[in-house]
Amino acid sequence: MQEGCGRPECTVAQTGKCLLNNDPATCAEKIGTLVSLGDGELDIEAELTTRLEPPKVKPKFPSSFTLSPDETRNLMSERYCHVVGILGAPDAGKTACLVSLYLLLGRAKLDGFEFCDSRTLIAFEEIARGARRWDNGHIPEQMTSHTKLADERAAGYLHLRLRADATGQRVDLLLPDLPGEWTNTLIDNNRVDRLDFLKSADVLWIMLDGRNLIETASRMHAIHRARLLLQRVATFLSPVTPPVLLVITRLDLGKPAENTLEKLVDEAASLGIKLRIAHLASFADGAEIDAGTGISDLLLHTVSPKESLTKFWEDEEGRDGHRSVLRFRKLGATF
Amino acid sequence: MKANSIVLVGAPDSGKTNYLGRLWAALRARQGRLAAPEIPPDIQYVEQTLEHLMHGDFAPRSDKSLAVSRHNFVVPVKRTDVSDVDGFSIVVPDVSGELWKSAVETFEISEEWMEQLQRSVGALLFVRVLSNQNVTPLDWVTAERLLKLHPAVEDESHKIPTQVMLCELLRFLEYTLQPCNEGTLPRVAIVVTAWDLLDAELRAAGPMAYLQTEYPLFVGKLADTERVEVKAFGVTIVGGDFEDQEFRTEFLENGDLQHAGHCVFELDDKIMEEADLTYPVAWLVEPLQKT
Repeated sequence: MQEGCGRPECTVAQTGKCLLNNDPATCAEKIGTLVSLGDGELDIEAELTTRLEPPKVKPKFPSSFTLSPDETRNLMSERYCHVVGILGAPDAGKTACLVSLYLLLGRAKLDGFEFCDSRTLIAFEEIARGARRWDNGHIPEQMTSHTKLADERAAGYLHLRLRADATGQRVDLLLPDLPGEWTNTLIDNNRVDRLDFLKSADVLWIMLDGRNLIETASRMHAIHRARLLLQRVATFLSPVTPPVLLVITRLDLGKPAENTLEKLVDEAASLGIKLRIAHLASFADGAEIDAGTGISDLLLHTVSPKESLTKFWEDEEGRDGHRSVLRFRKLGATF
Repeated sequence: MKANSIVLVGAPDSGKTNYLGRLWAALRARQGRLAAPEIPPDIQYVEQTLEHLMHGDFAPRSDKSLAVSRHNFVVPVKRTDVSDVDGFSIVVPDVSGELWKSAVETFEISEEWMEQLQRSVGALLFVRVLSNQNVTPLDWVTAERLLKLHPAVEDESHKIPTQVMLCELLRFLEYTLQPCNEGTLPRVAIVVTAWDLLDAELRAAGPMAYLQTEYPLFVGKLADTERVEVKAFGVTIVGGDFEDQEFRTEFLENGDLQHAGHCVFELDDKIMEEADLTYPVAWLVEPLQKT
């Protein structure tokens, strides 16, 4: 048996002598009794078999944060989902677009569509209030925050189920919430390992900051980068690229010149990409354009059967949209 | 006697406690679809609530004595419209708006409450007209400002909008409530309380139209749900607002709680008004009595 001391620097155990010259037998600092190992009094087996009670975990409801790829796969096995691939540089307005879409739905102001459901409602709420922040502390003249993902290699998906007024059909949309840096690394380093899901996208939204296409100082470079992006996408998704909606954001600041956009249309045509241009004002700085202008059209083109990819099997009986089993595919798998 | 547990769900200040007190009075009056022929052993909680109402006040949200006496309210009831049906018990577990608010914020709930939900045959989901606790959705100006904030600045003022809260609570109910014996969907009654505070035009349009105006996300989800059957009720438990001194004086001098208040609902595209305040609960347990 040994006795312990309240002072961590005590040397009695090693030297038998107290540096404070106290008598170890009567020292006021002495505490309790330590059991020394090897004296036969410690039941090691019993100690090893004693288990701590695991902390009580409260039951959880399924969360409504962004969906993981696994959760997305489960949803896609239940019903047909329109997967949208969203690409664009960090300032392009991707998050602003998603926020504005959510705000339109929250006030029943999205022309042509009604909200039915979302499995990621809290994620939308978080994004809308800017709870996802820039990770490097950069805060330029920026409308939205960067998207920082828990898993650097996997996309987080937002889910929306909408009812199209024109047809009454319900459509499920999966919208990845990606950081703009992923688009930059696709262009600069051809890093495609995180973008596999694009292979099963029904449509791609390539977002471009309208300001950069309007201002003469930035236009040339913006067109150059957009062309590169189109080429990278076409190469990665070869042999068939899904239809591309080229989304020009910040319509409230004006539209780019026609000849500017023609250059991009020509580029897409040369790559065999079916491209349509959509103009968007997620927020409205001026008085002439309402916030959310263009989002309804963007969605209409996204879920329109005309925008869908090549017909795998021509449906001669007009049952398009109801053959979910035939249309099911795994996320990331090519058609 | 078979016990059917129903659960009262709603954010703080959504009107759960006051409705429960008024329901107790309606059950005792024995003039509605459901009646309580006997007095159950423990009625302290509902009696305290009823005392407030009979004194011309709504039970306050922060009433500590109510919180202390709050626990399961078990009341044996009998259907009055069908004579040969056995009686059954309604169990209304203790209600706390904070519990539901916390569940929406964290997705967590205690084991006891999860089991309680899974045992329940249906739910009353409350939302109160013009409650100062209701939260409107973000607008573009605020969202733009929040998105421009410096990352180090936390937005402390943010609260989950009421319509998001309602969607999430309905999602929890879809997840937990179980179909009845014969596969009938569990029922959820949406109870819009303080119905009398709306103007005549809104009242005439009915509860779903009101919800559509205020909470479009929630109405979209109600229309889309396939796991529960829903019906909306507009409910005024005393027919007016005790804050209105004229109404309060009239109520105390000449009123009778048993004849005060009503609920409205839609039936065959018409808005119906019904003095029977047991109707939302009677509708909830209706499929169970058929089996």
